[in-house]
Amino acid sequence: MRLLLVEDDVMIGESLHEALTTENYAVDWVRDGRSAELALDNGVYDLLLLDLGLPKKQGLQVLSEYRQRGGMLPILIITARDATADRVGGLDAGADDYLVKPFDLDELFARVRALLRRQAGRAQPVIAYGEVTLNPASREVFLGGNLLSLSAREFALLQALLDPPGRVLSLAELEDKLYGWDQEIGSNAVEVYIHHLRKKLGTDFIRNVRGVGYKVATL
Amino acid sequence: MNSIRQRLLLWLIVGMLISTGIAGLSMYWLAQDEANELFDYQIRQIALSLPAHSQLPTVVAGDEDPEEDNVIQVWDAQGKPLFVSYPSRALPRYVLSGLHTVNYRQQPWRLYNTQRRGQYIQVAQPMTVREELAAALAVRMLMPFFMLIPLLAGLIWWSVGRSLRPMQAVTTALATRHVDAMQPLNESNLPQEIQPMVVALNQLLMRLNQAMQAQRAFIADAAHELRSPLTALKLQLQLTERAPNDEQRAIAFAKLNQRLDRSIHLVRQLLTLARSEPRLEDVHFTSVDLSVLVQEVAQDFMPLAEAHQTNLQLNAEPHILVSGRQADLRILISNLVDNAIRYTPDAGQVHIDVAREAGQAVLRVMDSGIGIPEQERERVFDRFYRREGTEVTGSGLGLAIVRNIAEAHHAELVLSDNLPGAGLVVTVKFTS
Repeated sequence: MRLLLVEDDVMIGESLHEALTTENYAVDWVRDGRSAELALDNGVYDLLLLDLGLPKKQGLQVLSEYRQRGGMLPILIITARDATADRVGGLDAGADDYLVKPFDLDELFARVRALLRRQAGRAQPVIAYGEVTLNPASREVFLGGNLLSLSAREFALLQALLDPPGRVLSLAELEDKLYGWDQEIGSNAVEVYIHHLRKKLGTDFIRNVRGVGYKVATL
Repeated sequence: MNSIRQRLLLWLIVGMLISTGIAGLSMYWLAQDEANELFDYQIRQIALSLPAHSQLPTVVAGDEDPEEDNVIQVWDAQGKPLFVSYPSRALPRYVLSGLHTVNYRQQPWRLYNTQRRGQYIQVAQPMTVREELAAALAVRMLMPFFMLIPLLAGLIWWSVGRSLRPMQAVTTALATRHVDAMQPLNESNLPQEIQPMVVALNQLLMRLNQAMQAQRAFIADAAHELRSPLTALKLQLQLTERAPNDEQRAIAFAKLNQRLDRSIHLVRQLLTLARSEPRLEDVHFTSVDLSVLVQEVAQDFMPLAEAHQTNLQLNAEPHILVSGRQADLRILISNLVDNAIRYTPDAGQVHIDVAREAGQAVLRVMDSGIGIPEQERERVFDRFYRREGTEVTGSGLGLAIVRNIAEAHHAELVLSDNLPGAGLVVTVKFTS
């Protein structure tokens, strides 16, 4: 899952970037409204974390213009403005959720998971697909009741394929979901992780659609 | 005694008594004059209308009229007493003729002596008769005044109470209002004497209201501004808790420390700002050697300048004295120098000048940074205003503090471009 973090405060941005990265999200961090718009145009993100008080272009403006352009990303506003009018204004401008600073990291993670879940079109917190169960909160994967040991990248890759299941994702798309701008991508890295996953979940679980990409096997 | 009513009453009664006393005295004197004239005439008439000797009755002691004051005495040519109207009060014979006053047995007497048909006639009257009459007259005339005093006192008691009733209304309006209620008092229908006070009170209320609103806005702003460093602190604390190993925990603690420092810095700046807010009372100013102060500040900032590889230069004329508070001026200079170093890219130039120009002490802090565009130069003095796109995480209070201190010192504060080239010049002109 790749997130766009828009936060002008260096210290807050740094900590959020670190926290979300350790949660195995690929995170890109920009510090002003205009850079946020440029980054959104890439279309590679699964979720936007947006501060409101931003230089160059205010967060609310970025938000409403993005929605006007038809942007569908789940958007979580993170701001110090806690007045009811501000919350209402933010949600009405098109945000999906609103978190007031200072907040708990666990709450932020939970809200991010909830938004991603909704975006994937499911209500259950746990993704179940055939014999495989994936819990985004605890980051555990079970195969027929047995807990699998997956690395962070393997887990992220599996979640990308399963949430929602059945989509065909290209190699480039998978890379986008796994890596932020600041991370080096080794050549064949994604293929290596797919290889590992197949070893743990069964060779047939992940199918290669020739010339397009990868998807999970149809049940 | 601090009651208008009581004081008014006291002075009125004292005044009435004094004027009544004066009126009584003059009345007494006037009446005495009149009585003198009247009684003098009377005793002369008695003497002149006295019948011949043969017709005078003989009065013996014990057969005297106690109501009668006059003593009539008649002697013959040889000085032998012929008649006395009041033997028990008989006076010696006085040889002076006409009206005159004598003392007999410690009592003043008015006498009229005359000689007629070989007889010496003397009519004597005690002066006390006249004094008593004058006093009785005076007292009778003053009676109405004494009756008037309590009446007037009552009237004043009542009218003062009535006139002060609007005051009572103002008091009640003030006493029953809520602490935050700053709406002005009703100024209409007030007596001329009370209205200026209420107007002044309303002006004070207005100023208080403004001050209170400014305070409220400040507290709201401050609370809002505290959120960012506290958020950074809280996030970092949670990351530190989650650090998987000692190495990362050490890094996390270092960052935690930075964020804590940032919060501390903000709180400190808030305090400094609150202290630098213009106060009503005049702060005690002393003579401060700006040259020495700037030198001290420059020395304090050497390590920071070195850390930024910035060349910090000082060019101070000696003995530039200004009147002010040393501690505040130190903060002013420190904030300017701190800003100059922080907002100038590394390996830059910061110059501090102290000079006397046209009789004014002038402090200049110049840097080779990016400067401040003209349209932002007013706003940078607003508290919590941070310029967009600056990498420095300041409190946004430094220049607000500088402006407060400059204002308190009646110093002029000007921002300008560092020409030629780039950068900012902050000029502080102390009007002497």
